[in-house]
Amino acid sequence: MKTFLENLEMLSMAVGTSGDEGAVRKLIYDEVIAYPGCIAKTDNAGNLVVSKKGAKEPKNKIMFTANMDEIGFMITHIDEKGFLKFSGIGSIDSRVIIGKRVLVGKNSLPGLLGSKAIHLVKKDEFDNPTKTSDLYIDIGAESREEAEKLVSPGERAVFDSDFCEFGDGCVLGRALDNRAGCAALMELLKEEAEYDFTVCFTVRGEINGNGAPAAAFGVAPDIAVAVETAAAGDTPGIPGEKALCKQGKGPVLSFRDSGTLYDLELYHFVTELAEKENIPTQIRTGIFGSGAAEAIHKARGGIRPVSVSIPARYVHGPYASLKLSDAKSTVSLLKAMSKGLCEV
Amino acid sequence: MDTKETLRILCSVDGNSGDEKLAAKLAADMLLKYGKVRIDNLGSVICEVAPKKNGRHVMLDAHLDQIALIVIGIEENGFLRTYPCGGIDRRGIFGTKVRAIGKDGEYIGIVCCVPPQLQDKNDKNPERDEIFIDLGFNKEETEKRIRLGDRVMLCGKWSDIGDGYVTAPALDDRAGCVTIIEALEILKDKELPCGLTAVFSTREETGGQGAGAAAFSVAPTEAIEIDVGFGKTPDTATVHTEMKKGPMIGFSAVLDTELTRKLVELAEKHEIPHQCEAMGGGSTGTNADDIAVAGAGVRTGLVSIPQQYMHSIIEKVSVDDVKNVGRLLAAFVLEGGEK
Repeated sequence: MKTFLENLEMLSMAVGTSGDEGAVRKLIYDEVIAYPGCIAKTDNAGNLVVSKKGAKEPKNKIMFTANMDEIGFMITHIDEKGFLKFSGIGSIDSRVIIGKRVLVGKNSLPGLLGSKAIHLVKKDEFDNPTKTSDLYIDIGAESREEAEKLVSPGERAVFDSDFCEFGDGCVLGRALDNRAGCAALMELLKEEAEYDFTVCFTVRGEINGNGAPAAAFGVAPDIAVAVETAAAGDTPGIPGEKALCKQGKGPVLSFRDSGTLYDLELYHFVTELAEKENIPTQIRTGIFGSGAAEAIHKARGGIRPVSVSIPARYVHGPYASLKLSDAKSTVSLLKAMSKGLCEV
Repeated sequence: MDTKETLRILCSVDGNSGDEKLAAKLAADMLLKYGKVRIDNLGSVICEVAPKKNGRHVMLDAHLDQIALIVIGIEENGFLRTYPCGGIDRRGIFGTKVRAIGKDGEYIGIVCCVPPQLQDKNDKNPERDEIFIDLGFNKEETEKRIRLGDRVMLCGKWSDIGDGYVTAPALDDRAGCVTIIEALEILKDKELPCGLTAVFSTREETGGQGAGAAAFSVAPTEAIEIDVGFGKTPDTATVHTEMKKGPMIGFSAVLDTELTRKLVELAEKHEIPHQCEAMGGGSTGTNADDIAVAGAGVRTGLVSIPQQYMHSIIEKVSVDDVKNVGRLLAAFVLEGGEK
């Protein structure tokens, strides 16, 4: 049984862009299947649905979800000189990708997200971000024929990033959005449970989140808790009113985001539960951004939505960072919720 | 000599402009077997391979320094405010993993970026003084570790890529240093017809002060500068020099025309692949500009290694191009003085 940090590193280093989460799913499956009372199966959408057997049957059927996928790149074309053109999978900004290393295709070939040298960049190009469509990936091939032997259109690429601890209890790694949520839910599955509940590791979260509603349809819960990362706005250049949450202040609870009005009664219940358990939490202070709950709460005859997020900085880049104390508090809160929400 | 391994080793040490000590020490050790080595007042490594005679004295120069960031402030929340020390590309700096080199150790961090959800479509690339580093510490903890003026290195990775290419940060211009070592290796058992000094100079990325000062003290009759040059990529219509096409022989008003033609002639004679890099204006943007006007003036030539993605953490060169530049330099030392 791996520790939380070991699971987080394992998942951060795994490759799985939206629609291609198989490798991540297998890693999670192999780990959780050894946890007590866990039965896991993959649904047709590709979600890993883990039923946790508790001591009692709950009054409310609870489902926890976290997306397993990550942003990345899809190779769309190989030019005559062997350079790869691509389009983003999920939200990709040229300002975080120029000059970065990527891993390309099923064999994880090294690739370079090239752009002309700084000396050749005109002033207006400096002031205006480069269009992603003007960029390309260099795998060292010198012709289309050579490149075609190594990679085909439709294959994926991800940032080539390592995982490390830094600063005062922080970690840096790829795909922490939202594998951190996955790792937190794996912690929840580790211990004996008081009530039955279901955990879904879902697909395609970065592209409209169409994995989560399929899982919700299949599981048919009364309450769904979406565990995600929330972009911390405590970095330079972000005005206070746009700071959604802060790193180090605990899990983020939401009453609303741009896609969902969360269940008010449950929102207050979870807030008070955290207080009672002495778990630090913070309230989401901006309504922008949306998550899996948007699609989940409309599934079937309606599902009561709850959101718990881990503050993370620099999501959708080569590295995101989070503070381990936030992740730990999130796990504590989820454990308390797995009991408390069943009794509401 | 294992050119690729020498490149890897030289690229593995830090040496930002004005703070090249680690790279200089490693380079000095590498040069010991070729001559008398000293480090001058600006930190440049100077190796006298063959002493000065009355006639021709050749100086080969490549720069040792690499681009990085310099700490100019510590913010309330503990973030470092930095400024480029050398030509950092602000277009792709966001999200780069870094190492801040503090007083007692180095600390991992990341270049901050605004999360995409908060970016509006008209957002600009960051200004030079808006590059912030998150070290994961609060202000007090940061101040214990980092001083203003400390350097922040961009983390990259050494690796092979494709057929015969390598990629790493600092290949600009450690690759140039390796071409000189390559030449010295070819020349080591030969009797030289001239005096020869190899210089690995400092501060090129911030103005070329190291090479100018070294050229004054070496006072050669002629010099070849070796730097990296632009290798064509899909987005560079004005670049005509290409990877794996061999040394780029520079033509510029500041360079000595006779000497430049000699380089072409020797490349042809020894069947070394080569290409011409013609530069308009009055300068080359390399140390050659400073060396040419050092002391009473030096006849100077410029040979460049084609490189893609210059000034990034994914700089890329061909190992064969590096070797061929070395061969051309050796030929120039031996035969460049012939009429």
